Amino acid sequence: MTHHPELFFTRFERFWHWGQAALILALIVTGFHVTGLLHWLDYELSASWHRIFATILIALWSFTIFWHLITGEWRQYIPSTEKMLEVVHYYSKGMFDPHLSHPFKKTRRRKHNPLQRIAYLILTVMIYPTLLVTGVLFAEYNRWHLVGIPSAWLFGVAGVHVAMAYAMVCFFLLHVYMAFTGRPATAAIKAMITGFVEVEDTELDTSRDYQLLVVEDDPVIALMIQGWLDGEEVREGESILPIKFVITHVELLQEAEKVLKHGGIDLILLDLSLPDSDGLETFLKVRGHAVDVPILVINELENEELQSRVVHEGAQDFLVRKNLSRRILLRAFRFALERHYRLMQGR
Amino acid sequence: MGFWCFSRVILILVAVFFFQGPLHASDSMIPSKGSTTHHEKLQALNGPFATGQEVTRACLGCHTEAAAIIRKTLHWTWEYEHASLNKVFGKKHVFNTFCGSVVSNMRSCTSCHIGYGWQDPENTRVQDDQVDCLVCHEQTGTYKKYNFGLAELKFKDKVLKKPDYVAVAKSVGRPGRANCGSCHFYGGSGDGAKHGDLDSSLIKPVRALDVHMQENGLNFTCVTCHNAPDHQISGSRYDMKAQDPLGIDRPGRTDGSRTSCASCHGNEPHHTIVKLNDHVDRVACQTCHVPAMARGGVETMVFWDWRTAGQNKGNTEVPGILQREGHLPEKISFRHSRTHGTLLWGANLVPRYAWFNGKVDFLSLNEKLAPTGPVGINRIFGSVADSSARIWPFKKMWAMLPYDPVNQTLVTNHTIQDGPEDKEALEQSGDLKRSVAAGMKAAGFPFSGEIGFREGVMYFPLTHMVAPREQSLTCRECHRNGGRMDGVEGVYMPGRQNNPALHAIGKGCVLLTLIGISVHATLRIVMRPRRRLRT
Repeated sequence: MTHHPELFFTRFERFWHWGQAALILALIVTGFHVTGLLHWLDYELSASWHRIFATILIALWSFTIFWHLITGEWRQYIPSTEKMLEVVHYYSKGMFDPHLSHPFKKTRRRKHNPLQRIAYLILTVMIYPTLLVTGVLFAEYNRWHLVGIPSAWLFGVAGVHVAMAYAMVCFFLLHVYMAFTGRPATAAIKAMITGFVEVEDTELDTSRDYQLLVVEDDPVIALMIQGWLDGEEVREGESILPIKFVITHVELLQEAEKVLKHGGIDLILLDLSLPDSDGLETFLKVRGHAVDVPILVINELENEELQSRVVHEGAQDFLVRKNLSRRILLRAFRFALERHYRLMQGR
Repeated sequence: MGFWCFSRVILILVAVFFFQGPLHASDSMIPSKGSTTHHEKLQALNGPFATGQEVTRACLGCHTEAAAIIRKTLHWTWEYEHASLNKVFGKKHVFNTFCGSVVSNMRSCTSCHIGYGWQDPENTRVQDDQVDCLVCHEQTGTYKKYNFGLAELKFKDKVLKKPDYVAVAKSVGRPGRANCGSCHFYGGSGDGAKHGDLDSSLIKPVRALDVHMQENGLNFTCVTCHNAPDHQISGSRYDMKAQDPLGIDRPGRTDGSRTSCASCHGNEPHHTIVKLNDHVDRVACQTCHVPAMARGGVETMVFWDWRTAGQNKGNTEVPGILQREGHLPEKISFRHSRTHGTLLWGANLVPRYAWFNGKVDFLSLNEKLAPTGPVGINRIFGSVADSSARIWPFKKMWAMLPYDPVNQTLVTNHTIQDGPEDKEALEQSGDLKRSVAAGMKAAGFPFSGEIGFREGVMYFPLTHMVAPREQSLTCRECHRNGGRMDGVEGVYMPGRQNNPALHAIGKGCVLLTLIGISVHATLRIVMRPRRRLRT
């Protein structure tokens, strides 16, 4: 399998990541001086720098939240269970076997495996906000009486802050360790510095939408396919097919020919039995209009003779309607596109 | 750190530049300078004066109301009516952990009374000319007071020593440090014995000892802060203010008293490290700025053991209570005398800290003691829940005090002879039972004849000997485990591990994480050679 570098982490993300890492490390060091656990530094120095670092971090977070909202990158942190077991299995066992690779294939759209998603979600919805709220309360202790907070609450507020600080330390240690579990060990660190990740060559361009032409006279089937590629289920399907489709649906061969004349279609899903055409003839006509476009064929029944002829004529796959499922369909899409891509590249 | 040091140097340079002016001694601080009257030129003071009373009569010739005003002061009455406790305190009515009580010892104790004539019948003691103006106002430093408050040292009506009354009278001015110090530095049996923050080192203090009184600096006198309208000296240990929310004293706007740090410095006194101002509401200024007691090289007494009074040999056993709740000098050296028992002194001692709202209650003479535990000669009030309380530094003076185990009261001890013919005093008889019997008789309280000893403790809030900023406490002195605030409860203090269980759990989690990482990493390393073999 060959690889190519792809820009995963933009300059802002890298600045945010390393800035945040440095600030959090500094906050851990100064913070544990303030709690009385460390004694290398002067108390006054650590206490005042703890406040300064925290202020900078809050500013950085503000920018980062804004950036995530604007770019939509916040979706990277939506938890997912897909391949969760495989990933857990990989870290607990598979990693020791050099022949196994990470079961989760990262893409620009999905940079985090399900474990990462959950870890980062805990970090961003529990540890960070709790530290932030208790920390600000702690710093503003001398104004509590203005809003009527009993001063004895400081024990609780400080206690939660310290507890979360320990959680932060554990996260930090694990995160740093995990950063060295790539192949090679420094791959993830390198990626976070340069922004580029070595991704397996996939012929699919994950950065754009694919134009799918569905030629199907049965509206039920058409709707079903549309549903599989749309909405909630598409997200799950992404592991099979990390791209998005824009669907054009037609019911007649005539209409399909019109669309194909326009060009821009990446993939065709073709029902051979149409009101104005049937069988192999349908395929040949469509192919005549789209020589470079991979075509997937759907037929009412299994028909080995027809199947072999259609494939012989260049169809990517022959799917039988009653066996159709989302998984089968999406996998067929992927193979079709990749095979076609390789064919076009002469490989 | 380099930047930090550098910025501090700059700060100090800036501070020196800006504060240069006030650091020079101001003439107005020197007693009698700037007065519209030169007492040297007053013919009324040409004398000759045979007694102190004659000088006083000369003073009253101009200062017509002085005697009447003086007789209303605590310095004169030795009585203090505590309004909120509804009790009468004052030297006449309270115990201490030193000689016990002034009762039955008035002959000697009145050498610190601002009057003359305690040998005279009671009705003549209150006459105008019995007021001693000189002890507070003379500036020669030669004036001393002896028995019965007299300025003449007498033996059997023969005057052995007497001041040059004319010179002394012509020197008068505003009281200097030595005037107040002539009594307040020597209370409790000698220089520095009593307070821990008042001793003769304050007469000519250096900057490191007292930043306000520094002779070549601000050169404050006691009355610069203890301002005394109508001769009523402001600031009293019987009814203190643990904090001054009124802040900087402005005539007509505040209480007119300058006996709080805030009355000059305000309640946000720190300008370079503003965070320190967040402490002001709960921590007394003195807690950080009076870093130790007895800092002037004069020792203060920390323990008085009356058990060995009258005996030829002293006690050399260090009481455990001193280690736990008192002050243990670095070098333990007991001093013993037959008339005093065994004493322990020390200098540069770390204060004890406690919540304090300014209220102090004193044990009354003849008050029934609690059956067990140390006897609180005075009791301080305050807690974290009390918003008027702050954390204050204290000298805790411990003593083994004689008491009556039958009547369960402390006893007054007739320690000093009333006269040469007095055989009952402890200094004469060396018999504590006899001197206590005499003391109790003089006080008019029942005495069973039995003597026992009880641990007694007395709190002295520390507020003098204010160190310059570079000697004030660093944060870490308190913000750590086993720091100075150990035992001060109810307050969350960063740096003191307020919740050991939480830290134990936290450390456990971190440890488990590290173990997990180590195991995982080890497995990865162990598995690696196999990969190499295969390839």
